[in-house]
Amino acid sequence: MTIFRFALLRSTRNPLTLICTYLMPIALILIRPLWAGGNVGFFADGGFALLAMLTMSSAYLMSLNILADKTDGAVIRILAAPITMRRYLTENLLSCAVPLFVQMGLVSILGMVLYDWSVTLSFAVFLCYTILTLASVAMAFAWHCLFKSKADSGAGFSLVLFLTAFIGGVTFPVTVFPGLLEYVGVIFPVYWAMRGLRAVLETGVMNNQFWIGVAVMSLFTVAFLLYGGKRRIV
Amino acid sequence: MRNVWAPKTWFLLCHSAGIGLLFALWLAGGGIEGSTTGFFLLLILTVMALFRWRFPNLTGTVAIDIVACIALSATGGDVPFALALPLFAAMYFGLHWAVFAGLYLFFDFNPLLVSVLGLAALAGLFLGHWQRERQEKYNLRDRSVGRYFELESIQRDLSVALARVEQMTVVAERTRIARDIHDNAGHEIVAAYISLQTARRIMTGENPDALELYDAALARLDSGANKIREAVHNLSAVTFLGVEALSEICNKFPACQADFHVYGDTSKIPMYIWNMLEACLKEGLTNAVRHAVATRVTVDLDATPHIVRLCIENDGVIGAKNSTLGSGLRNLRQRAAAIGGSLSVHAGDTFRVVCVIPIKEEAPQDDNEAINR
Repeated sequence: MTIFRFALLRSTRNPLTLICTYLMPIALILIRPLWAGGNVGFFADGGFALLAMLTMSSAYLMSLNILADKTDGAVIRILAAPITMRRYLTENLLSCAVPLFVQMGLVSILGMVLYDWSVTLSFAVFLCYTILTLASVAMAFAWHCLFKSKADSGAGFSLVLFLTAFIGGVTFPVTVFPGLLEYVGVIFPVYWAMRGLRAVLETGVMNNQFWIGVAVMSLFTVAFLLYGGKRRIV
Repeated sequence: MRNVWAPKTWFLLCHSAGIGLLFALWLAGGGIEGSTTGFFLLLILTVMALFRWRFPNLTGTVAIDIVACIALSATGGDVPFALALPLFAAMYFGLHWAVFAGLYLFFDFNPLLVSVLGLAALAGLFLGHWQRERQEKYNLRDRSVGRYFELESIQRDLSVALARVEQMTVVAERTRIARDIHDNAGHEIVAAYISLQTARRIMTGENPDALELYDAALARLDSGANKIREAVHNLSAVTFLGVEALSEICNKFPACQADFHVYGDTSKIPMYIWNMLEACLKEGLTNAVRHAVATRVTVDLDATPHIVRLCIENDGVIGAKNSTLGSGLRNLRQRAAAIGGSLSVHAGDTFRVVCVIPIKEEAPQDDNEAINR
């Protein structure tokens, strides 16, 4: 797990990553109005929607190391050592996901303590955001494989974040969009996370809607990993 | 630009367009409000398509797509149209059993669905045949290039072997000359010198001038005999040739014990065959080290008046699992065939290389007798 360890240490050198990944989720859960239920400002699901967007941004920032290795040629030097491409990618992606898993665990526990979340809701939040983390990391990885510079990748991903926030049902409920635009958001994993969580918040149980959301996010993860794994990063 | 519009590219484009069309169909059918199953199926088809793109050999996974389509068709709507996508892929991959998926039409007959599935299957079939035909041409080209390089390699080996045979022939001829001088002229001169020395002892009352001249002649004869001895020594071969060369190679084999046995009269084996046998032995021993974990190698050389047979057998059979011959053995087989012989390989409990070469009667024999003595 040498690559995992060093990738983890490397990600903590960037202050922005440090704030987004390690501080913001805890900070969010401590802001009580965000978790009071209903819409908060522009955000349809308050803290849940903000946490989903934060997860996507953190996954992007954490996985920037892969793009950095690709652009500065470090990956060639790494692969000159007896390390397979699969191991390099697996450990790098794990180093992106594990800190977020821990954050989601803390958020679920703090939610139970601070806001009297039921065990079902806490577990649903943990599961949903864990799968969303995986999907986001996989998506960011596939996204990085498309670009040769950090600037292009960052510009493109900011557009994706913007679209996700607007038509993915994060800032506005998708029902406010006219015609087919209402359904285009399904191509973003966040849409399914919000849909699943909303179902649990409304009914109090993990019903079919929730599990469909989890299954779709898992399929997104596999699809993005397959796409990213096929692209050459050397 | 050659591969841009290859059948594979067309397949990927058509497949992606198919997924796009199904997505549009799903949106037109009411999107998420209409059917979550439709989107779920679309995602499964996309993941499976990416999976086959990532692992091109796992084409059989198209069965999963077909099963998913048929299983989710029960939910109604336009879901059965999704069957066109795996049918297209299956036909492209040459999985003709997938036409049985069409049996679904017996349960849900719809002329439009029949047309879509038929067109998808035909398009897949066409692209698949195009791809296979193209692949066959590439394979043929690769085989031709492979044969060309193999022939080049054999040519290089033969050039080296020719130079070696020339060198060995020169050495053999020098050995024969040295032997002739030593056995014939050398012995006669030494015998004459001894006779003259004996005669000198009984020549006591002769003319002193004549005796002086006689002694001078004896001294010159002695010097001549010494020079002949030196010449014979210089002419003699310092390298091993023929059976001695094979024996020396076996003795110096460092990896394991190599036993060398000779049967029959090897004096009639011509030089070009020795060269071939030497190459065979070196290749056999190299293979025992490189491709097998041999603990013992046995080398048998059988010489008869008409053929010579060299058998190299090792007890390490790791390399024997691969039935194809390496380039070294292939080249040797070609060289053996060029001189009318054969080289065969047998992989069983042991790994055995047998080289049989006929001895042509018109081949000169004097050289070989000299070197095999």
